[in-house]
Amino acid sequence: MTFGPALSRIFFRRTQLVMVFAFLLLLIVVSGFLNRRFLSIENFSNLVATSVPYILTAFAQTIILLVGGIDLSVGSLVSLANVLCARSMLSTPLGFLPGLGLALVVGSAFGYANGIVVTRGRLQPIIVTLASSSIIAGLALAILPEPGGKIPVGFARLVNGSAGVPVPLIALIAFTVLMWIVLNRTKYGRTVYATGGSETSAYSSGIAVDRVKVISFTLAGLLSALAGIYISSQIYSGDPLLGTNMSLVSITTAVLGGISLGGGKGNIIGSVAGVFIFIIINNVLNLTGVPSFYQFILQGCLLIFALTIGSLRLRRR
Amino acid sequence: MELPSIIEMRGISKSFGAVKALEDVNFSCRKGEVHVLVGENGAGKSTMLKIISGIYPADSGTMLMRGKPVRFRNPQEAQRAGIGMVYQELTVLPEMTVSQNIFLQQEPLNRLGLIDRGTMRRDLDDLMRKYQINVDPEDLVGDLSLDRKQLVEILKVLFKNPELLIFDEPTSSLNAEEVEKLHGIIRMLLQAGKTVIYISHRLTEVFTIGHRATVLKDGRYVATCDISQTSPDELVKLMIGRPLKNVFPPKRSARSTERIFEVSNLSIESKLHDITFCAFRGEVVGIAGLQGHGQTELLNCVAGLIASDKGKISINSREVKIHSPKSAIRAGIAFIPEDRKTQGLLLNLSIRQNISIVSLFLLQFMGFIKMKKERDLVREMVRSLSIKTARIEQPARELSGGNQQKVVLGKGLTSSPKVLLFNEPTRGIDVEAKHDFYQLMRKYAENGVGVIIYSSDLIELIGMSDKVIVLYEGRITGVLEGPDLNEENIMRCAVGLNKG
Repeated sequence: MTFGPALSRIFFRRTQLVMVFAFLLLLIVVSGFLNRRFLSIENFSNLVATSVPYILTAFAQTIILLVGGIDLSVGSLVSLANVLCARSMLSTPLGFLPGLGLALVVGSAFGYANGIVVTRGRLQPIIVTLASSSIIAGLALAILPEPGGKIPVGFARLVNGSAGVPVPLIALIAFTVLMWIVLNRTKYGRTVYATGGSETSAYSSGIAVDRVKVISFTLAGLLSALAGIYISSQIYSGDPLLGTNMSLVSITTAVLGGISLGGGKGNIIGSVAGVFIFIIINNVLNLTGVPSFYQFILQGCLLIFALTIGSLRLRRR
Repeated sequence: MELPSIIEMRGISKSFGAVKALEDVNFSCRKGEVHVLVGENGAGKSTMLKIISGIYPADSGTMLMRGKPVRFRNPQEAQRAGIGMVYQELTVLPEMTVSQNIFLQQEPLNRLGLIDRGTMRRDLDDLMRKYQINVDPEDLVGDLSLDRKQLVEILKVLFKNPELLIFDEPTSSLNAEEVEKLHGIIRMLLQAGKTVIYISHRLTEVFTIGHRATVLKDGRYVATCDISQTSPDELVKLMIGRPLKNVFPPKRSARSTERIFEVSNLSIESKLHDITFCAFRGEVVGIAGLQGHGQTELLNCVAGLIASDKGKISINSREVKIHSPKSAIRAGIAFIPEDRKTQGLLLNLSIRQNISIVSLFLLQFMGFIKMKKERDLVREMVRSLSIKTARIEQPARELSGGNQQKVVLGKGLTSSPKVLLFNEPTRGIDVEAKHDFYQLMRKYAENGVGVIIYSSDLIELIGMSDKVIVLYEGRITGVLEGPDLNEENIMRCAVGLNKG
């Protein structure tokens, strides 16, 4: 296959993805005009570092949306992972490992629990994760009532430093490639799309839909915890309310990237673009000094905008 | 002398995307008659009724009501013009009472703007007396039997006092006695000066209730005949465009004693009772029955979608345990479900992803899908089923009904099944694809695959099957073969009588 046909195929058959990236490009150009500082290399590497945790939560949400659910516990899992790191990472060399492991295990366990309750209880994911989100948020506050704790500098440098290429950029690419492979090239990935597309069809095709859901929620928990760990390394401390807004953001970014709320439809690469659209808008607002409460208002509007586009596209069929 | 037409269609056409549902159709219904519409599934009967009743606008052509051109933009306009439609899927709400249902959206109000229950009661009494229909207005509709629910539906339509009533397959789920009652009501409507358009897929019924019949085929008008001057054979020939024997492949040539597929004493609490039958090598077995007499349960149970209480299922004389769709597939059973859009296909996914989904376990290595092997398998399936598509990456949503159904079949075939179960295999697919399907079913049967079909289309069932088992209230009431296999016998067994 030569480059030309491949490119045209991407262009015509993945119109949605092309549109998301076109929007992103437009946003970058406009932002460059609005603010000179935006186009600096320093700002870009800053953007990439900021993006990593958002990419991870967007991936968590993407998996759950694809499988036909929604996960409102992403944000509180970020907080919990963060306070666990802040309380248990030690300054000795490799002393960060137990804390890291603990956060990942706890995150996966809560994800698994979400999945079990949803499938065994035949319950709606939205209500189950709303409840578990409250439990998890409370737990984070119990572990660390006030912002504080400490993240070892060694660990922070390790994941935010540079190995010729900035580590966050490597992480960004590695996580994206990994997720793409999981969703597009594995049997599990195929069953995720099938289950979200039509649970009845998937079930009668011999797919163990309950197991697919449990695996997906577990993975979402793991990714949310990973996001919490990454943020910890960037803020050097713990904050039990850190992730409060991140469930909403994860939904916004995934939907901006073209993941359908109806399930079974969307491309993980779109979610990456969705995250960048989101953080670039925030970045420009910060650079031009817009107060943060306006940013919240804008985030809500952005989600409604993305949702409307998605549902209009669906109706046009 | 030509009687005046209450409704007349001239050159009506209607397309859905690339699919032509109706093409240049003419139709005329005289005042005071029962006009039956017949045709195969997908011939355009329902589309035609929906145009008359204002649900769809026609793309072109004219419609006349009492000689004057009309154009309904919505069902309300058609209702105001005096057209009432009794839908096949009942629209009554189970949680409301009979009278609440009948007056829904047309409740009489008193001076305070509240619902006037006294007037409601009086109006309903008048209505029921006029048509001699009796239902308790305070009963919950959900508690009523199916034919009583249908009465409520009819009353709801009659309250608007229409001149023309349209019935869309009203008897598809009624038993013989209920059908008789419905026919009584229709005669009553005629006496009250109403006109009736009636869709039926039961030929016997056409001859008891109808005055004239219009035949549609592939969206085109074929003929209108006086019922008194035609015969069932003549109608069938008009419906399918040729004598029956040219539509279906020849039946099995010789009898075999090799049992390919066997069900014994299969029971599901209050749904199925001691179902026992078998398919010999080379046989196509049909399942018949009125809606809701256990056919769907039987198929779903064999496909692993619902559990049985007792009984066993054997394939090639070896018992298989089925407790989930997965175990059914592994045991060699492929199920082609009734509703391809919600049960068979993943509409957003490509042909490739749909066809391979059942057999991913054969195509994977350590959880990764072998892409080339997958593509090869899918291309092979697309070729052998002659699925019309330029590329296997095309989303299933974009295919025509016939090609979608072939994708569902292809999906099942990837796991090399020993038994093929079809639930309404040709519903809503075009004639060409139908013929492909009939040939394929026969070919698989000849190659030693057990083929089991449930279809509500009796012409299809009789034409395809070597043997038909008839269910009534979850029991087998007839096994019909050879000369016994005809529509009359199936209908007799389907209402619990013995074959004639």
